Amino acid sequence: MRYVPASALAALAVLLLCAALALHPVPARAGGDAGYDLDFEIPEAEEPRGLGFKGEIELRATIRPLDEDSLLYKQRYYQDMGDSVQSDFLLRLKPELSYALDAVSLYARPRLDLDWSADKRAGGEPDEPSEEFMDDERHWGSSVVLEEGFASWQPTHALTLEAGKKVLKWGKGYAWNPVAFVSRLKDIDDPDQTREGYVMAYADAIRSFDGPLTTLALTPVLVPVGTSVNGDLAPGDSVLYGAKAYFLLYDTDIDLLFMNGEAFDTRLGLDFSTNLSSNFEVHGEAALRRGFDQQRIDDEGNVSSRTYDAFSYLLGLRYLSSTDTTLLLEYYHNDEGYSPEEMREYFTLIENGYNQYLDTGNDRLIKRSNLVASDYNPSGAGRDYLYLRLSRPEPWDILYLTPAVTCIANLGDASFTVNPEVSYLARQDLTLRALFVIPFGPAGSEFSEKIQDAKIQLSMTYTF
Amino acid sequence: MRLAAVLFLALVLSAGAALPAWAVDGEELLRTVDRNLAPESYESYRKLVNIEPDGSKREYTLYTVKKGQDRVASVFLAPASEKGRATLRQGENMWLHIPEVGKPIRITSLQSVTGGVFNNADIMRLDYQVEYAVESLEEADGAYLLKLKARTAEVAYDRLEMRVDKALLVPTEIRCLAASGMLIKTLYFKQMTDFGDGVQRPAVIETDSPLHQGYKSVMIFAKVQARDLPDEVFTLTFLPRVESLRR
Repeated sequence: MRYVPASALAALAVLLLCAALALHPVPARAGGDAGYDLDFEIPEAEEPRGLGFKGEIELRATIRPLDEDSLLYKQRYYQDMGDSVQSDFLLRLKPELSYALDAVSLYARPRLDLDWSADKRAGGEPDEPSEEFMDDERHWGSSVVLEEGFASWQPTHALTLEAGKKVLKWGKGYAWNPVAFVSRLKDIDDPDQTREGYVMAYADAIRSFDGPLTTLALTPVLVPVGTSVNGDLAPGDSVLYGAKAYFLLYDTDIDLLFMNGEAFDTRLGLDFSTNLSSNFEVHGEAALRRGFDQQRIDDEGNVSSRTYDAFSYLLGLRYLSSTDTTLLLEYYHNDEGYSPEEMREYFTLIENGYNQYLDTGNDRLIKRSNLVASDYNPSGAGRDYLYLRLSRPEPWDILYLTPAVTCIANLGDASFTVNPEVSYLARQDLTLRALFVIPFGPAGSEFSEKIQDAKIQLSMTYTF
Repeated sequence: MRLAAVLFLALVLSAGAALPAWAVDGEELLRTVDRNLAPESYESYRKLVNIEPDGSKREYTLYTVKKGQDRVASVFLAPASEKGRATLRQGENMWLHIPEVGKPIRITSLQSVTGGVFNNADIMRLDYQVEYAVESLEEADGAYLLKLKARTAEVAYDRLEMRVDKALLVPTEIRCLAASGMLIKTLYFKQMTDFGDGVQRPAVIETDSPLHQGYKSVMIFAKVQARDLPDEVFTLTFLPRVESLRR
């Protein structure tokens, strides 16, 4: 019998109660004979300059039944087997502030989190830089992160200059973006989540033409790197420089991209997207990372490195059926990832280390495996993946309900996760969502050795 | 002599009033309808209202700019959950930009960024003459009836049956048909309104569909006015900044 903390159950009950209240039908406003209101109120139509404010509050509960037989569980909890079910509760406030005056505008999106975790160690590393609070608390934590904050100057419609912290959205893929050279990785289970940006300065210069080449846009980028800014991009103090050239050519979006800098592997990239028919889109990305240095570990705990040029690519399609079902399919070759044999060596090391600890109390091998855990443990650390997502809005005439199912497969070891989800727009300002992540796979494979047997995530987001 | 001239003019005018419909050029009429609905390049505000069978509503406010025959960009101003979402159309290419989340993605004319009965082709509509050719023109019940055929297979509706007010030369009703002849939806143009600077058009478009029994969607126009913008505004790179055009 698995033990679920009483506080977790209480918080879950609160969440469900809030959801029930949200689902309580709201009477429609009277709209006269026509059934609608002809009073036309246009927000800020008369005076679009000045201060703008919007935001969202999210309440999220995550429950993870743990797989005590999995190797990543043993790696983390070999000394202290914890609860068999972990739960986390998050209250997130994400306001967006903007100020516009003629050609100049300012924008900021901070993120304020207050969370309760059954085991704070189970959470991922926080984004940097962030202000952490309640470090000494066993279960409670809080943080403040500026996800984006930048100033824009638009002297003409064809030229924009921006500086500040910004998420650079390079690439055409939905689940992965090998050409996103200076962006944080997406959460593969939830690629639509907002992310934190990097501090940078960049420009957008646009020219339009008649003929097959309709648009040409150039985006040069400068990214400072130092101990206090963008420190995870490269060691030391330097400035990264890069650019994107965008072409709309024969109705096809094409980007050519590069990024370079001192102590930063040179990256070159290409992406494209086009519609083969009105309901069938194809896209792709290819990225070359020169001189990539990969850390490896063998089953005896010896760490080595290999330097090579990594060529990663992605091919995808998006298809809309006559029943309004959207199919998204992507294949991703991650040349910076580990082969199935290399992953098996890593898992063997953990297994040997765990057995050694049980037999002798010596945890040297387990600690060796932890040296490279941040490389091997994240989802997407393998080489070849398939991402399939099916979604259909409002099936069976149930308004504002969108069910979806996603399958993420590691083709190298035949492991995969199945992620059913459902979202419901209970009111125009309130979204309810349930997401399940269920891993499958043979022993010693990526998804079968995850810490959790499953992940259940319930969330409620209010926008204002 | 003067009397003869007056009689001749009266004869010509009376003959003109009785002209058979085939004497009116269908393509020219369609061009006139397009220009009466909006200047070729313009900006406008719209409220989209989706009304459900139980009477409850969802409302969206959009700011839209159009240039020439095939370029349209829109940005949502309300509700807060949608604010900043922007759409771009260049001919049959359509993109949706969701701020904060990701890069613009290609979308199709048959999807709907707002849900409800209006699809993306309705919300980002080009001039009718760009997408449709006139198959026939009839006159009935004091109105012109234009039968239109899509110029390419990429167009959202294979055929349109457009009823045009003879005096105002604007549509009063458009039936949208699939290639099979099945009725997909009907658009009703209402509330003739003077927006100033010579722009007079119906301020309201209602739609219903046999495919969505009991549901209704309404599009309400405001501040429709001519505005010429540079081509660079109608590009994927500018899409996240469409709202800056309001400044």
